[in-house]
Amino acid sequence: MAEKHYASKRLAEKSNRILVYAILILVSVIWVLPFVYLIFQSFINIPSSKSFFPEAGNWTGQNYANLFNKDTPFFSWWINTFIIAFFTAALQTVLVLMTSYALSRLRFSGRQALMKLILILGMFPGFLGMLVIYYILKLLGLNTSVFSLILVYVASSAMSYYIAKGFFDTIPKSLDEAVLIDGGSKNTVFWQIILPLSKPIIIYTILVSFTGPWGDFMFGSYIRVAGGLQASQYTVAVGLQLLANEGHGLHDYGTFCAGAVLVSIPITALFFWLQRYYVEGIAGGAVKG
Amino acid sequence: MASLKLEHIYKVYPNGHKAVSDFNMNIKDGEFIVFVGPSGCGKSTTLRMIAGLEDISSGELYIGDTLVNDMQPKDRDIAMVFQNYALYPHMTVYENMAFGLTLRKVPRAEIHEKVMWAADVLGLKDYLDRKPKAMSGGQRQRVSLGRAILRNPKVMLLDEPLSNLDAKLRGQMRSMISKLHQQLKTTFIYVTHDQVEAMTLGTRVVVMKLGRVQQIDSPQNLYDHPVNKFVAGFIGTPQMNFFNVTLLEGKDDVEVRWSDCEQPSLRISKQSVLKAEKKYLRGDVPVCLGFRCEAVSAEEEELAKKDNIVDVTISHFEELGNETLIYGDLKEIEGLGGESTTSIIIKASSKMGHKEGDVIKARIDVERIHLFDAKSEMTIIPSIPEHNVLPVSIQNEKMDLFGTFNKPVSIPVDFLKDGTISIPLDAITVGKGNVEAKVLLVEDHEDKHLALVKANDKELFVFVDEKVKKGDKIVFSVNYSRATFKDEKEMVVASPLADRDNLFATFVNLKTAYEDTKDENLMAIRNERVNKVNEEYQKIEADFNAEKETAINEASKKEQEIAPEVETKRQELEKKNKELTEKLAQARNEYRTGVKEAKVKHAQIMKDEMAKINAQYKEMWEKEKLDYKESMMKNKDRETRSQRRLSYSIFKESFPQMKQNDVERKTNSLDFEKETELNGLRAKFTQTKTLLTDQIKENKKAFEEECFPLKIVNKEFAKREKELQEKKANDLLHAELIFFFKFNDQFFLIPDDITGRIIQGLGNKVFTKTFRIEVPHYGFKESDKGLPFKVVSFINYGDTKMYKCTGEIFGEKVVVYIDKEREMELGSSVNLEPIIPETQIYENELNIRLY
Repeated sequence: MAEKHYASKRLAEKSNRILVYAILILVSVIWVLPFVYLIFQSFINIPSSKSFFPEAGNWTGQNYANLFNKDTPFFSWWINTFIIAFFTAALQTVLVLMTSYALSRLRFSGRQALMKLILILGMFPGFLGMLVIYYILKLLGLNTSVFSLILVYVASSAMSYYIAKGFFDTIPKSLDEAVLIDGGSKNTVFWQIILPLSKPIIIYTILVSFTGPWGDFMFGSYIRVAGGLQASQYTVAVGLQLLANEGHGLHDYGTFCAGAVLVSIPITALFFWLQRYYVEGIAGGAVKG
Repeated sequence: MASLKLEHIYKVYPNGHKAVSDFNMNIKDGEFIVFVGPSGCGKSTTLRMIAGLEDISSGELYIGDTLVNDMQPKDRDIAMVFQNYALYPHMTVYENMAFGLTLRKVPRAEIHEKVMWAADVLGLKDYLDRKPKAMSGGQRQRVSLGRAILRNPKVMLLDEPLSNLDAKLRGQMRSMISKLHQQLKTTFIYVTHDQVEAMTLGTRVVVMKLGRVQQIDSPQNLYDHPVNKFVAGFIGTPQMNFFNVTLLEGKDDVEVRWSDCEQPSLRISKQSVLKAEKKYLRGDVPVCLGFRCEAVSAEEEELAKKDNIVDVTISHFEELGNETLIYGDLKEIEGLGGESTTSIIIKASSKMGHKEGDVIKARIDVERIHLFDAKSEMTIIPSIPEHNVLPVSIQNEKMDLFGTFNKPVSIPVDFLKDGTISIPLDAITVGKGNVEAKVLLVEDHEDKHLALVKANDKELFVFVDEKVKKGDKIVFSVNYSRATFKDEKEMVVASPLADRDNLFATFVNLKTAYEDTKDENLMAIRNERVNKVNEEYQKIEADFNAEKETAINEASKKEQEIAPEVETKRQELEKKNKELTEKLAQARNEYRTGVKEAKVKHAQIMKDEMAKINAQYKEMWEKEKLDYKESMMKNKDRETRSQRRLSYSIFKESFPQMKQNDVERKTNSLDFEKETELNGLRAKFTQTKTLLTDQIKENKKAFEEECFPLKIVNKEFAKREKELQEKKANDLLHAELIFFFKFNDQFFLIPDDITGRIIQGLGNKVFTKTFRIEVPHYGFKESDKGLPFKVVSFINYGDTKMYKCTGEIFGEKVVVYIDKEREMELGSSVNLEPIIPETQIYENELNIRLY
């Protein structure tokens, strides 16, 4: 009897597990498929073939070579975007962490109201303010440079304080107090105690604030048109869109695919390297977030 | 090491909740003070105010002789131990302990020495390279203690340090803290909700409830003489037994009658209720009787004394091994029993053959009982009574109190028969006056000496000086203005005059005052103050400039002398520093190779261990497989076979998990070893590094000081000049900050220190509040600018004479009594100004004392 019971329980468990794995595999295939398609396409000489898988003998590296010839300033796009993303990430991380710390630890009048206001503001999509942002840039005389995007991205950085604040809330306040009694100031607390303890959340913030500008299309495209930028001043997202889009001088589908693969490499590498912290960061914030 | 003084400390939250009310205490150097009370009583808040982690709403806190209200925690020279240890998780034990001193820029060598000392005292020497998460709770709290003691603070603050530990560790740590206190002789302040800790550790214990201090006393006194029912119930386990009773004074003794049950009355001596007010002894005022479980006994030898015996129905027992607690009731128990107004707990050596439901006899030791007022819950036998309540009669302008004498004119009673007079003890002045008395008894209470004296046929308590002995004759006078008269029905017929008269005022600054009055005198006050500061600084600046000039002259002379040698000295310096830099590089290399080697070593160890585990599990797997096959071959019996098959499949399923667990356990312990070793290496390197870099910096500094003294001197004086200017600006600012109390349209200057306290207490709300200024009768002076009052009557209380005056402030009629030598005509006008330093100042709305 016992054996039967055990066997049936095992069977149930097993079938359960099979079902779960089946769903997971299905989902991952759906997710990975576009990327695989992209990789294959980047190796096809497009005008000759539009099949999913390159026919034998039809493999080519030409698309990648095209990226770096004179007509396609892919390298400048990449560098532009990297500079923008790098500085945005650096500034935004500092701002987010400081805002979060202030909102987590300091008690000032209007704190609750401010947090709620930021939360509500965050619910509106960023592009609603696009016109205004453009006029402000124009007033400042920055509308003709692609690097003004750094300002645009960094300006709203304090709004994403939520996860980091949640993480800071989990660090006991008595640590702060111990530092104050030991002879430190609020600065000492932040730089010498809180930051060393917040590695996951710092890395999470860096990742998020790097990937945002790296993949952003909307502001880049807007500033391209309105500011009348030259081809070498585009960001990757804008440039690649032009490659993919018919009706422009740059149109070349195969080169677009190759570019897309190259753009995804640094981000993918970064995520693989830091994924442990990324998960910890989100989870850590989620406890009290 | 320092004493502490807390004066009228309040903590009021923005929502008006008073967490701490009027906390007053003097803590002597080296005392061990324990704050104890139920949660939410304000004990932790008080401690945090002492630490500087919470603002003090009002009142003054002195550490030593310094007012520290506005001081940052780091400047107060205190150390604190937290309930959750508050160790820095990313630092090793060594770094945790050294952190405070590092922030204070103490030299490395000294830090090292102190950390080693603290580690030695607390037995932490083997753990210095560990991180807190690798330690147990007790060890962590020891680190936290170490971090606190090695700074040698003036005051050690401990906020429930043992609450997170288990019972056994708690006991050990308790004795460790006690020993630490004896060794360090520092002032300790310890917060706990555990009365055992309070009683065992404290030299004095502060019992708090709802933000108010209930009693401050030694543990023994708290136990033996609780001032109210709360303290009596809170201190001591099991809780004190409480019963409702009434007292009736008989001829030889006092009868204690049970209110809630039919039991024979207890008999207590008259001597023991000497200090109680007579109203309690008339048999109709409800009183609460309390006694501890050891003051009641069911043992034969006690019962043999025959008196004060009650019948107890046993409800259940609690056997504690060496003794037994008998829970019972003075009435018959209905149902399951439980807590009632007649429950009683008796301490006995054993069950003594009784069982539940038995009715036994128990004797109450009346020497050890406590009596409390049923309503106010205060003890009715205080160690120092506040009032003397004596019978009095008044008839035909004569008063019969200490013999019959002329009634002081102003006592507003014409006829009183069998009434009582209640005289506060401090309204009696011994040494002058005309009432003669004989001292029956003298008791010493810290700085006060209490005497029971007999004047005519009346016995009363008075304060005397230390020279007075039992049997002496003394004289005293009574300030009848502070006495309360009641008639035979306990109705008040004459209440005392208040010590102080209340005036209401608002707080204004100079600008408002000047705009209101256009009084140039107000501006003149300001100008005078500003001029004074300017003059003061003129002199200081002149001195400073002269000093600067001499110093610069000297320095330039020195610089010229040394100029030819500078080059050689520079070379010397460079050589020295190069050596040090090389040493540093070498140390760094050593550290790096050390780390690399350690990593390689540990990787190897890890690999070996993993291989071992793998081999072990492989062997296990093979063995099981073989065993299974064999038993399948051997056994033909179906039952056995299916059993074996089942156990095999269970093994197969749990095998990976088993292995995984083992691997994880091993990995964790190896990681831990590795981390400890790496931490050790890093700590060693950091120490050498800071030592060397410090030396390099010092060499450079010494060189500059020797060769370019002018530069140094210039820098130093520039810094000092800046400080001086800042100080001057600050003083000037203060000179211009002048505030007034406004009564009607009169403005009275507030002295600076009092202004400071008021602003400290209320912040920028100060201008919107109304203040109650309580002025003592002697705290008025006559002045042209004073408030107009009219003298309405002359008050004569025999030895105390005053004038009653009326006036108007903000449209309200105000009555004040003034104590003046000068004779004043009734009906005349007089201008009075309160002498502000003599007054007490309250914020009227929340009733917070500010001065």
